[in-house]
Amino acid sequence: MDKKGYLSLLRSELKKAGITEIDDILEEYRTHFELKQKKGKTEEEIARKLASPEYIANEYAQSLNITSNNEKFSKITMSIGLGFIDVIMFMVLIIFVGWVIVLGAFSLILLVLSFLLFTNLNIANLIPFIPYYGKLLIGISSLSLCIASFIGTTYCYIYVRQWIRVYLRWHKNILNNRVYPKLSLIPERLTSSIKPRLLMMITFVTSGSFLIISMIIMMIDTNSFEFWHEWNWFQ
Amino acid sequence: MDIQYKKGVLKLCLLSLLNTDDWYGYDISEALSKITNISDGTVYPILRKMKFEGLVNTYLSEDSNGPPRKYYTITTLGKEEFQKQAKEWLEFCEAVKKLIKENYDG
Repeated sequence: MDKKGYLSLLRSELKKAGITEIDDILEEYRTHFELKQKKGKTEEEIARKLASPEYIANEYAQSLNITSNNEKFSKITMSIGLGFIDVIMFMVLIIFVGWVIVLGAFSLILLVLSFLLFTNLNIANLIPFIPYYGKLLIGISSLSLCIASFIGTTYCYIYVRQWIRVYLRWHKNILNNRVYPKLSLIPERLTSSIKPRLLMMITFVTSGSFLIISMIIMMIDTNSFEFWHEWNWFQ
Repeated sequence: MDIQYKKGVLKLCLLSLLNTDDWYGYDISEALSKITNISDGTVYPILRKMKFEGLVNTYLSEDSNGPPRKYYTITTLGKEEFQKQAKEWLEFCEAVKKLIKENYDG
């Protein structure tokens, strides 16, 4: 019998014996095959040295009989409780996911805006009159804000993804007698040559300062604090 | 040797192995196959039974290379059980040895 045949026979035998957590058991035998194969044994040899699937399933059935009723009962109550927590956590996590999407959309809008400003395009007259130098300056400002918010989006995405993983792991552990290691709330550090946090800060400051500079220049240009009136923005 | 009898002793062997270290399921089966000719696959059901009895626990350790591996670790209850069973076993062996020696013609 080869590995595949052995494992599938074991699966059906375990199912017949009414054993839960079959995947967990099969994983044990699958690794056994893998590690033996690494030692140069053939699949047939390994299967021969393992006991027959029927025998093993029977062994598992014997070990299960002791606690199965108790186990079943606590699993049902646990699942109901877990269902409630799932609903609440789903709502909380969906808010986080929503935030990531909003932030992502915001940076996309800024990207489009800066593109329009740089190219002096004006689709559907959305942008009021600004001299081209002003468009350039505001364009730089909006592009840097776009980069800052894009990095922010990425950060939020990584964190939210990690939190979802943490929750799923916790959920899985509750159902599987805590066999999996707990995950950290903080994602593993990203290995990157550019320091994204620093870049985010720089772009954020750049964005603010270019916006202020452009305002000041436009005020000087029109000789008015309220330059927008000079260019009849609201008429 | 009778298989049921052997299984009882195997449990003691497993407790003994796990008493000092956490073991990976496969390594336990390897270690046992060195001292007995029991089939490789029988170790896992025994380990599972011991888990149900609260003698051992399992955890997954995520190694850098390859998938997470399931480790077995002994519980406080398991340690107590080991001390008890080991004492019983050794006393039993002593008694058997004494008895056999008296009647053995070799």
